[in-house]
Amino acid sequence: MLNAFCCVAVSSSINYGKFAEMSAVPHTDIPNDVPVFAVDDLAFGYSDEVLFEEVRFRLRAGETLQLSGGSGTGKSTLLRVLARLLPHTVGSLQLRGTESNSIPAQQYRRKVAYLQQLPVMLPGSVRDNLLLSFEYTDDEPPSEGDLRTELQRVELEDVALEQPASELSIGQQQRIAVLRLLFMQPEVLLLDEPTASLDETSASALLSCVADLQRNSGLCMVHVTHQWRPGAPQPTWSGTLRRGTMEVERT
Amino acid sequence: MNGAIDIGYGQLLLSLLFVVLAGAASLKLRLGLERDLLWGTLRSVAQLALLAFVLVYVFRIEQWYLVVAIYLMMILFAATIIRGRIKRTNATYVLPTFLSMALSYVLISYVVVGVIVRADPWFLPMYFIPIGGMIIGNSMNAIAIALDRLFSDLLARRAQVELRLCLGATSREASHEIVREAVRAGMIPSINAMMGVGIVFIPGMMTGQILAGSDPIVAVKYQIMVMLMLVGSTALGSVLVVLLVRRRCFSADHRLILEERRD
Repeated sequence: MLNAFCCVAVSSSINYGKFAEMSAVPHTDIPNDVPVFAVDDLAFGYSDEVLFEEVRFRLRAGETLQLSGGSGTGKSTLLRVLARLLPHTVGSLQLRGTESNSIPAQQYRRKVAYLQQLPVMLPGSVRDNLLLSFEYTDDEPPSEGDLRTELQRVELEDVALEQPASELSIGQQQRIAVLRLLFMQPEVLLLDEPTASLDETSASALLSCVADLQRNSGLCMVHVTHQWRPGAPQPTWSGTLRRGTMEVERT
Repeated sequence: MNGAIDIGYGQLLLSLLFVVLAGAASLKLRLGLERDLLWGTLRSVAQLALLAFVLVYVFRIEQWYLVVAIYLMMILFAATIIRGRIKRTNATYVLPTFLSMALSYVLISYVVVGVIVRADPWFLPMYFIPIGGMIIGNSMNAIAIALDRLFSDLLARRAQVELRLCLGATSREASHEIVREAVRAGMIPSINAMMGVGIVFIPGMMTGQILAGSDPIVAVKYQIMVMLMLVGSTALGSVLVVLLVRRRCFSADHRLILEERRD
């Protein structure tokens, strides 16, 4: 039923930036009807209780699922399951048609990137933090010039690469954290209330940056948030976790 | 060799005065330690008297496997003792702890007694058991410190570990720094001991040897060997333990599964 919807056109965007080449260009050799991210009958629970079950949704390139629900309904837990930081007890999690369990976790997490609710900066400079993922691959890290371009893209042109990351405001750190994830060229971005601890201005800045990056890349998103705000990624789907399951509808 | 001056049992009773002194202080200052003092005194006397009987028997053993078996039991006991000093988590570590302690301590005791001291035979209980005991006593502290640090850091810095995992690190890569710091924390006390020895304190073993009438030069040679052997066993033991136990803190698909126990 859900997979009857057509794919969002990605290549029609005019404003093709660096990230368009860097991240998530849909593979042409894969049939159109295979979604980027498919979740079927997913359940998670502890030994004595089920937190949620029968969660299902599909995301095609460029689509966003906005996820809401009262506190304690398991939104954050669901995202951690999607990031494979927690195991799902039942169901299937597919990335471009491949069952997640048959993809090594460290590769999977580079494709399904998870943004922690509070930005985590390791001791070191902004540059160290931006380039952290390159410690774990043989990929060539971006040049100095590229790093500066990317900082401008998230409106952090005033931030010096040598600056200790701990000196930045939470809002700035959160944007560094987003950039850091995007360097892995993910196909899905999982956002866990990324604006929860930000003031109004930083929240809008972060969300419009994310929306902008998505427009240029075809990145899929699962965005946990209480309410949509202007400038945020326009949700394709809206999901609500309630009474242990998720209801999804097209917006 | 003239040996130490023997202490008569009547004179030994005199040393009870020290406990009476401590008891008086406890009463006067209302420390409430009288019962513990009494119990502690009884236990020390009983345990040491028992040890004397056991040692007399143990020193007559002529089979290497019996000596090693006694040693392994001492190690097993140590492995369970450190349990009380480590943060309670869902990770089980007694078996890996015992295995790495057994492996490193037996190896080092063998080298010390058989290769350096050249006791004949290499398992000569009079050497093997006391030296082994010193190794256990010292490096079980190191192992307790290292494990406690490993667990505390993995829990306290969970967000950092998970950040690295989310950036494509394997569980080994994500915990590399924490493992390093845990092993360091375990090793530092025995390195500090190397700094202070002979200036800040005269180690018990050397004191004992000198009182027993050994040439101080011989006693010092033994002490040097002991200091170095303790650093080695501490290092080997805590590296092995931390590396083995780390595997139990993560799942096969690189998730941090360590949790604080809630009971």
